[in-house]
Amino acid sequence: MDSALNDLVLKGLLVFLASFSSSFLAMPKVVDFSKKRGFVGRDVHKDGQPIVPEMGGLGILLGVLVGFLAYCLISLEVDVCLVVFTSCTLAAGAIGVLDYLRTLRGALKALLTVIACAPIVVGWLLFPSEVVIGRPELPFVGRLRLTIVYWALLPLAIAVPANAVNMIDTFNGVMPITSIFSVLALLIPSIILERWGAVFMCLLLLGALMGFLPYNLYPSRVFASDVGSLAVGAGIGAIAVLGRLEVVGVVALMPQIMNAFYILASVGGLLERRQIAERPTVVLGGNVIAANRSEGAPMTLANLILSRGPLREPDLVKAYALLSFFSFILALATACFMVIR
Amino acid sequence: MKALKYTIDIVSVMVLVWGLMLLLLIIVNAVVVNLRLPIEGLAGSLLNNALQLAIGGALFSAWLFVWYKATVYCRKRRLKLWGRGPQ
Repeated sequence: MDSALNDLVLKGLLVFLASFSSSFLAMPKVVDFSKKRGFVGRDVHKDGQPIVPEMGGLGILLGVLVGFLAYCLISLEVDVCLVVFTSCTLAAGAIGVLDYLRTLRGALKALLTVIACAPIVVGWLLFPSEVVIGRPELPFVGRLRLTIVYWALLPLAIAVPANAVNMIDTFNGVMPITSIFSVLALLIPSIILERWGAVFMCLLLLGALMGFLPYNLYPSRVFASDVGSLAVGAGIGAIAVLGRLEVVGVVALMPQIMNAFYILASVGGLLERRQIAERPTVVLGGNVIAANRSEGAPMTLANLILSRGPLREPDLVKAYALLSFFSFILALATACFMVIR
Repeated sequence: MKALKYTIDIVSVMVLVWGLMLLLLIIVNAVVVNLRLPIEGLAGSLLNNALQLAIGGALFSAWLFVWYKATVYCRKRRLKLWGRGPQ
């Protein structure tokens, strides 16, 4: 390995460790803070519906921020793409806080997440040579030069992943596990294509998610809430745009996008969960969950998985993980088709 | 293994959707982008772009429709299997 590559590996490792350790170590404090402030919710998929602290997403945001600062300190420079990525993540997190405190309507929340793409636009306006957008790479086709169409679709590049990750965050550990696979699916192609900016963004998010995961696994000690899920989704969208891995990003987020698409198609629009009359799943005794077989029940990914029969929550989460693993494989295959033409 | 049993046909839908997406991208790039109307000038250019957008949009809608129908079929089949299995 030459010294430049050695340097990158060391930097990457340090950034990951900074992000992971800050997220992991901050989580007990976030739990205490949430309990004190009454930021708690019921775990509706368990017997007795225990009360669980929410706002765990604050720990994820802290992890990303500390990882970013660690990168700046180690490399003694400010990477514009990393600033844009961190800003998108924090902006979506702030929208999540607002949603948590004020309970926004579904459509308004989706509209607000569009604003989270503002750092990308500002970054492109101020540093067009560093923030390159409008040139996505497609498998078999190669690099496209899109102008009007890309700008028209750009607001969706953050809003869709942010809301899709938010919608899948329904069972213990599902959001961090599926997101970790999605980030890995962006990390490996970024390394192969030598897009080091995207590699560092992935490591920041991966560290923060892995620090949060032990606290969110079954039985959850803390929930990410909208703060975490919107921030993570926006972060994944920002990596896909800034790393010019848009199509890989779509494939990497397939379980999340499938879930969101099924909900939108079966419910008929963007509704807040309290506005949906029927639940997609029903809780049987002994922490066993079954699909709601009613015609009016929303068709979520959980409903689809459970349409084969009831499962215990940890087994259901394993099924989500398996689907994410398959989408990870498909995303890698997509990246290969981008290289081999 | 239990997780695999519960996800295998959803993975099939996923692979179908992924394959169709790649096919769609190839068709758009090879056919739709190269469509040219025999009309010159600004009006021709506008009509050309509108036609490409309409065909692209129709293909995208067809893709979403196939995806939704495949999922609905998959869910119905799974519910039937659940009904037949040990309760």
